[in-house]
Amino acid sequence: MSTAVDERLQSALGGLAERAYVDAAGEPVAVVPPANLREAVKVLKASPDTYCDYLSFASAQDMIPRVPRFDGIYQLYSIKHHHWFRLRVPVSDGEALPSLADIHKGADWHERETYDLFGIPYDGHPDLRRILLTDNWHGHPLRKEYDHQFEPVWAPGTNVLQNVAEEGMAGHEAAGEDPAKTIVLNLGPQHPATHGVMRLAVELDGENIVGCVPHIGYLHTGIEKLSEHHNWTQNITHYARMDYLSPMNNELAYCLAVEKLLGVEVPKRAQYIRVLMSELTRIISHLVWLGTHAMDIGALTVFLYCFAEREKILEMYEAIGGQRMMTSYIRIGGVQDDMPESFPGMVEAWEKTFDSQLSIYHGLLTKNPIWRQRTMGIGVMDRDTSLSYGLSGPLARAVGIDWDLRRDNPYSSFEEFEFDIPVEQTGDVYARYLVRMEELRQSRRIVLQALKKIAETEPGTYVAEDYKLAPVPRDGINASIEELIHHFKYWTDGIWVPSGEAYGFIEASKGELGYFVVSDGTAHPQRVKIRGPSFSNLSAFPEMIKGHLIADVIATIGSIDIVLGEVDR
Amino acid sequence: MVRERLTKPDSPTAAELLSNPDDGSILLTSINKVIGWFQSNSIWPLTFGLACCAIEMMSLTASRFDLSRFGSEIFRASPRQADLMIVSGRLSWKMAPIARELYEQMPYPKWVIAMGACASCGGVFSTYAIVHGADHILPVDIYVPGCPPRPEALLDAIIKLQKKIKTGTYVAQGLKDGRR
Repeated sequence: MSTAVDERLQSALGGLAERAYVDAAGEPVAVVPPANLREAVKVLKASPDTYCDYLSFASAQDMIPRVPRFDGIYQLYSIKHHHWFRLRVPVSDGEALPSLADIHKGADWHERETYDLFGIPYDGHPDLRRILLTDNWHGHPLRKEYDHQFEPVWAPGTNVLQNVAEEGMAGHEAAGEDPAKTIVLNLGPQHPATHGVMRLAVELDGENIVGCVPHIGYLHTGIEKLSEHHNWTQNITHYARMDYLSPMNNELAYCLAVEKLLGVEVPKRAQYIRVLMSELTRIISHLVWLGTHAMDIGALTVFLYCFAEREKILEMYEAIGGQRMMTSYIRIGGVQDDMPESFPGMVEAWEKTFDSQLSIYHGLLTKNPIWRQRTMGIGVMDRDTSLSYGLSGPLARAVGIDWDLRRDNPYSSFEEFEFDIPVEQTGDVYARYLVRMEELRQSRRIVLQALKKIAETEPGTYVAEDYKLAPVPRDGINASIEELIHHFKYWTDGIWVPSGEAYGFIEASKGELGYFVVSDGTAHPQRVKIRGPSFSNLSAFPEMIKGHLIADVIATIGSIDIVLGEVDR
Repeated sequence: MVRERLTKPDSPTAAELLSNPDDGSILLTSINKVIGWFQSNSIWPLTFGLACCAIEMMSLTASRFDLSRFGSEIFRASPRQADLMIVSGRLSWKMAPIARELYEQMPYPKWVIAMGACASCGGVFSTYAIVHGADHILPVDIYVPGCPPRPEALLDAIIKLQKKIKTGTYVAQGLKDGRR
């Protein structure tokens, strides 16, 4: 299939590309000069063969000492054909890349992020400011010469809070007819309903929203930079803490990407355990979403119910991975340990009551007139705008985009499972609620199928049997000197990954979660780009709440289901 | 008598008299302890969620762990009504001035718990973006290890803090600093 796609790419791009190749996973990559970039993206979007209507992410890679120094990277996807394309655009230091913000609106934030972290300017960008770091930050962290442990120093007398206040509506021209009539309200970063440390500057005319500028980066952790300094296995630890509501999803997406580079075959048992755990993860993530979303709108009881239910799954997490949240259970080549014998019993005991729990939530909310009034017709997006912003997951499915990576680009043996994908058409907060509620039910279905399939596999085959990838069993270390050497190499160097690039993606609880990893053949990644679904989903927020009332802001934030750890990384 | 003392520049102020439990004032020392006992059983934390630990902090208030058994379930969204700041998660340099501002907006007496490895020392994130320990910018009373700590661990920290408050020295310290 990949060669066919490759030919399609070649024929669509024609002379626009310098050269094309396929990456470790067989996905086509084209190298395009900066002057042809806009034309290439337009052609790929319009051509019926390629039809790349979705920009997954735009980022860059520092290729020093190569000249030109940087590569702009664009990951494109076709919702219609379900295939990926990647464009690499070589650009030298100081040279600008053309902005794609008018072709794909979602590129706006991605380009700002690249500008912030790499210092690559974009020509024609509507509002090129730093997005994750403060305006007065020195340097660009993802450049190779930047010390990852550098502690920022501000000039004496710099009033950092003053900058925060002035930033306000930066990048937004007063939209109200009479500027004297409108006020700017600051929401966050300390606000109970922003689901973390997000800040919104909202321009109000009375109670009506005229404009809104989200400010993010208050939880920027530098995970992408840190990834380049830790080895391939150690990195799993950081990613679980990125989207902390669905830790195992993050681990899975990263491991899939690295496994593509390694070309390793994961045993069936491990694949099914991964499916089982990623669906349980989806359930706990959706439970937190439901509880907090309902609490924001005023239904506190739902929060208590959801958290009580979540505890049951956290117990399973503890049984299988040893920790309540950050298990680092999914490893490269499989999982960390076999499923305990008592585990299926725990899952079965839980799933028996889960359906009745779901009907309690439905009973509390679905037909509740207050809930319906607060959510129906609020935060509406249409199909084209959603695609343009790169919305994915439940948000995309709520506007009638029938797209789920589990079905369309199956990974980890998802093609063997039976499940339905809920799609709603209205695109409002209520539609998103219905989609997620149905996903909870479907996830339970998948969990039950996974348990059956695991029972059919041979116990103990939970990781690829290759001592270059997985630790040597304890009794093996004493048995032979060769295994002792493997043990030593594994725990000191870690895994050595052949050079290449790959994109690992999954349908996480919030949408398309992707890890673009590049290896230069050593024990550390050369570059890890994390495509967090919340980042793109949040970028459409000003569009969603345009024309609504201030109270609807809270309902809409809840419906996006953002996790700031993933937005800011 | 008291008025005279307060107006004299070189005489100790009322706050200073109250502040030193060792000055022989048995009555005031006892009052401090009584106030401390009241305070310890009604600590109102600030709704200040940063990262992963905030989810465990939320679990602590939910039904299984039920923080309200210890009088601390009333999380206040406004720092003006809170007296405990739980730094729950990694604190970035961009967030640091805001956290400090929030702390300064809290009325005295106030306490800080650094929840988890990141708030205690930066945790696994030794990067340019993260403050390596909330104690760089805030006076931390209790450090809770874990990544994230279990809700029981945070509960233990709150009980330890209650013991600390019951000694009554905090009331005195606040008056000494001239803060209310």
